[in-house]
Formats: sequence, C-alpha cells, structure tokens
Amino acid sequence: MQTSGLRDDFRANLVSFSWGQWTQMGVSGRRDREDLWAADPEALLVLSLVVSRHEPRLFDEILDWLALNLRLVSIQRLRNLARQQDDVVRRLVDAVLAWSITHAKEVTRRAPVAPSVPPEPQTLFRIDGREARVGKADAIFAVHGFRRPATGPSGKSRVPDLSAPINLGFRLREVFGVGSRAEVSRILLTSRSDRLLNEIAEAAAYAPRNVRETLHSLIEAGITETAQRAKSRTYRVERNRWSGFFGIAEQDIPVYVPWVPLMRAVTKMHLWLEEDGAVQRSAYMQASEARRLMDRIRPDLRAADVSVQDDRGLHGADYWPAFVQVVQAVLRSLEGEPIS
Amino acid sequence: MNFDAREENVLLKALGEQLSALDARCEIVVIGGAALLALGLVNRTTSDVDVLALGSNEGLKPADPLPPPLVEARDRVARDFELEPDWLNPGPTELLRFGLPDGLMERVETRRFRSVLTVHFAGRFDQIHFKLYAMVDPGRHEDDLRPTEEELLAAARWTRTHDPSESFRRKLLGALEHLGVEDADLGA
Repeated sequence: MQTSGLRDDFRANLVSFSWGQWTQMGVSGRRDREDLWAADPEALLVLSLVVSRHEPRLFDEILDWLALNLRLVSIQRLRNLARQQDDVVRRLVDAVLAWSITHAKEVTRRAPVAPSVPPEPQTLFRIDGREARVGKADAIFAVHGFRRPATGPSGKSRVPDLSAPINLGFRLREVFGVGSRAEVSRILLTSRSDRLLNEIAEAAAYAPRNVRETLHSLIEAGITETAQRAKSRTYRVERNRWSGFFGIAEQDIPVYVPWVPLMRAVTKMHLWLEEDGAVQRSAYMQASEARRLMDRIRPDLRAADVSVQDDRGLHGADYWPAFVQVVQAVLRSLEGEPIS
Repeated sequence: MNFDAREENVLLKALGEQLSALDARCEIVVIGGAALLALGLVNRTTSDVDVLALGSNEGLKPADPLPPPLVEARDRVARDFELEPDWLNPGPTELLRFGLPDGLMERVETRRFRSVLTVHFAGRFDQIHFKLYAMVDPGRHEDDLRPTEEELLAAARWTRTHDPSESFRRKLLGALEHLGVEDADLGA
C-alpha cells in the first residue's frame, strides 16, 4: 500500500472513530456505535483534537461539548497527556482549553495559559490536504499560533448519558470529583486482572505519588485490596461490590482499554503519516523512517496489546509491508460495537 | 550478517540515502574485504567495511573518530539491515600514520552514492601492500590476490616504512618465502 493511501485510510478511520466516541459522550451528531469500553476523555481529546484538524465540523462540535462539560474534564490531566506529544500538540491543547474556559457555560476559576513567546502562526484546519481559508481570525486561537475562523459554541451538545458504558469515567467523576480518585477507580473497576502501581499511574496520567496516596485512601476505605506478588504489590477492587453500588451487573461493567499508551501511539502514528509520511522518499527511506517511528511507539503498542509482528529478517524496503500490518492492527484495536 | 558484492552496493546506497536525509556529505577510502568485493577481485562475503581515511579538501585524514553524521547514518543502516553496529569502521586508519603506498589515490576506483557519499576503493596494487602487512602481523587472506613477485617486493618495501625493526624484517622474509619469493632484498 502506498503511503498516501495508508495515510488517507488511517485518517478517515480516526475521524470516524472520534465521531463515534464523542457522539456517545454528548457531542451532536449521528450515533452509530455503542461501545462496551469506558472512555478516557483526556486521552481521547488529545487524539481527537489533532485528527479533527482535518474535520473542522468535529473540531468545533468538540469545542461546543467542552464549553458545556468543562467541569467534567481534568485540565491538569489533559495537559499531562499533551506534554507527551510535540510542541504543536501542546499548543493546540492550550488553545482549546483557553477557548473552552472563555466560553464555558459555568463560571470556572481555571485560568487559560498563554505562550510566553508568540509562536509562528499556522493554519489550524486542512481540508483535502490544503490549508483551509481563514476570514476573520479567532483571537484566542491566534494567541496560540493557530489561524482559524472566529467561532463560538454551537449550543448543540448534551451532557453525557451516565448510564452508557463509555461514560463510566464521567459517572465516577460525579461520585469522586475530577481527580486521581476517579481515574484510579475507573482503571481498577474495569480491569479484569490485578494491576501494578506503575500500570495504574501510567493509565491515570497523574504523578505516581498522587496515585499511591489515592490507592492508600481507597484501601483504608475498604473498597480496594492489595496483595504482594513476588517483589511487586498489586491492586484490585471487588467488582461485585462496586457493581451493586452502581447498579450494573458485574458482567456489564465496561471493559478496560489501555487508552493512554494506545492514544499516545495512535496520535504519533497519525502525525507521522500526515507530516513525515508525506515527504517524497525512496522505498528504502520510507521504510527506514517508518522503522524509526516504530522504535518510538513500540513500547506503547505493546502496552496497549496491539499485535506487532516480529520483523526480524525484513531488511531495508522489505520492512514497509510489516509496518502497514501494524497500522491495520492499530485500526482493528479501535473497532467497537456497531449500534444494534 | 555477512554481505556479498551486490549487498554491499545496497548497503552503501542506503548509507548515502541516510546521509542525504541528514543533509551531510562524506568521502571515505575503503580497503580490505569490502574493497576487494567492490572491485570484483574476490568472490566471497565480508562482515564489515574498513575505512582507511576520510577525504577532505586538505587531503586524506584519519577516519577515527568517524564524523557524527556518518555514525548516525551507519547506525540507521545497521538497524535497517540487521548488521553489526560497527559494520563500517575506522579499524585500519592507523595505517595512515606512517604513510600510504605512493600514488594510492591515483589507483582507487571511485563510486558515488546519492551524490553525498563518495567511496574510493583502494586498487589491487595497494591492497597487496596492506595484505602483506596484515599477513606478517596477524597473517591472513594471503590467497585473495595472487600477487606477482614484483608486486610483493614493492609491498614488502612499503611495509618496512611502517615497521623498520629487525624482527619485522625477519618475519617479512619468512612471509615472502612462504609466498614463493626467496632471498628478497629488503635492505638493512
């Protein structure tokens, strides 16, 4: 498969995935899937904001959703996750947060962050591979170095339906407040196996010290258990007790997905295909650059249980088909449940 | 991983592409098995490319250390083709210290890869010099080139400029005898 075909296919699938997730969470649009997993809103936001630079309607509906539901979003966690991407992604997230705080339906004490040095401006949206035209520019995005048309909330978003499996994380935030307690609870409740501290801290995207304190509190409260396994300490919750509390049958508790490493890897893969992947190169150099990307994201793909085949013996340009298979495996991991 | 002449060409082409991607240029002089393969003088495989020297506007200069962009490009090629990390190395660059056979650069065969990597492969005559020197010291590959008596004597005189000691002279005489050159006149 050619790079351009792979890029277009990957982008189209990510746009569709993002629409599918956000419409289940209250963004205006046609709902075409009903996933059995619990979403990670901040990890999904980072990916969706990057991808929807190619889908302005989705980008603006996500902005509208944020204006309505900002109190359900962890700004600290979102910034923590954005810091794991490049500078443009970090600025994009800051721009979106600044816009959302300005247009939030409820008064918030959260202050937007402005860059200390004005960045080189770039057009926010690309449509069919070309920069979208900008008439009257949005002042907030301009501060962060993005040219886009001025926009306000569409007013079409809803609050998340807390009974939907995908919105379990929001439900836990309503119970525990936005913070590490809700994230740790989501991770432990949806996990089918015991988790190590570093796994929980990585998935929670909070500092390990905060996560350790949170786990200690949950253990003291008698709703989390811990055990010593060899040299490691593991954590778990009694799912049947939690299912009774939330009124969900144990088998209907949403499924755990390692969203943080998965979204991080998918975002980097998307950016590579859009930017580096678009550079005209020989077959060998294209494969070599793909291999370099894989060196960077392989640990995340492994952590996200994405099947990455053994590429030993695939020299030079022969590596490319193996990379295409990885891209396809990533897309398969995002396939959810069509609405019945 | 060992490579043959065809594969060596693929590797050097890949090295040129990586240098080009790094916006760097490099000129190297290669001796040893990789040079013999490239010149079609032997039909075997080798596991490395021995860099004798780097080319520059001021002439040849030692290859150790290799320039950072060349190291970066080499490492990328090593990863892409599952080669040993030092598949391209400055191992023989010490030879430069005591001088090279006269006119070496006039006998090299030069190839360019992506217009940013220039590789000079030392010619047969000079390879005999290096082989003989290597043979007397660690002793190997003496059958590769089937040198004539004249070529061996020229090479022998050159090796003496690297090691004028009596013990080396005795070993050299023994090696020449082994190669069929008896009573060689090597001077004092």
